[in-house]
Amino acid sequence: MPQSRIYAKFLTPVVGKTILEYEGVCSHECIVQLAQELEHTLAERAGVRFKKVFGIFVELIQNIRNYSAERSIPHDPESDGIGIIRISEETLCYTITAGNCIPKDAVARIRDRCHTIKSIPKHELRSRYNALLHSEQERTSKGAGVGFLDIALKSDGNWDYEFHLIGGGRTFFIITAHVARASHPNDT
Amino acid sequence: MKSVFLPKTPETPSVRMDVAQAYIELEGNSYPENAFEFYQQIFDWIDEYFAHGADRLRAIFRLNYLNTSSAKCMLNFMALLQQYHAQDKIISVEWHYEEDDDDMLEIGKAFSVDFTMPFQLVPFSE
Repeated sequence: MPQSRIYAKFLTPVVGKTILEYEGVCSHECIVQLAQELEHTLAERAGVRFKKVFGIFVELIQNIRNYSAERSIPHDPESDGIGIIRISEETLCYTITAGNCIPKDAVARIRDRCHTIKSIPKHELRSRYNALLHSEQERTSKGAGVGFLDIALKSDGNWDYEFHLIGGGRTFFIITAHVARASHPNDT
Repeated sequence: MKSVFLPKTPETPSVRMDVAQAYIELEGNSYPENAFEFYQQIFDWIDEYFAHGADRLRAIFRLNYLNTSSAKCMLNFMALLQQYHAQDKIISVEWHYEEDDDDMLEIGKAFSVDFTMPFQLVPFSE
């Protein structure tokens, strides 16, 4: 875990209480360990809402592992990605924030994809998710497109994204998702 | 043809593939490092099971959490079962979901619409 806190400064300061924060190499072993810690921390407190927080956490940290431009072995796409992830507990919601560097040539594509998903009405998210799941069955896909939709679904559309130029021609990509602590009465 | 049991890990479900009782049961979380590799061994077992002359299989899913790669594998899983259903094998699927878990319910609902084999949505409470 070679990273010091390089990226924390790009995240919005926590409003409530930080439940989990990790910055560094996101290996599979690390993901499993953090997920287990999260299960122990949140399972009893958040009830079924915990599953949404947990699901968003896993999608985001696996995205860092798979897609971050910064690798544990530089320029080796098979090595583990590096980034930051944080979960905080606020009065009305849990907030999950993740950030990682992305390649310069990926910025427009990711921005378009996020913009497209943000523009989907909430009631259409499920059908779009199912359609994309059917169309992305190839073994090589790690599922980032479906992953963004999954995050949109689990956060009930309460998610956002931002890009920061951080020098050296690098762009830092941040996703933030909120999960309400109590389900809305109109939820299905 | 042997029955096989894969124990549960934090990131993979337990998998019980039972030849004598003609069922396969998955229970737990699914976010493995390589979901396709993990599920392929199960698909291979099912192919071999039917190649040995079996005429039926009850598939029981009691999954707590699926990441998107695993959700794709579930879709492939259902497609495989549907393929045997189309070959006149007796297939039944039980999709168990925690009663307040709308995500697992909706995934199950989508499968029940997409495929014509017998498919049952079964709520449970913890």
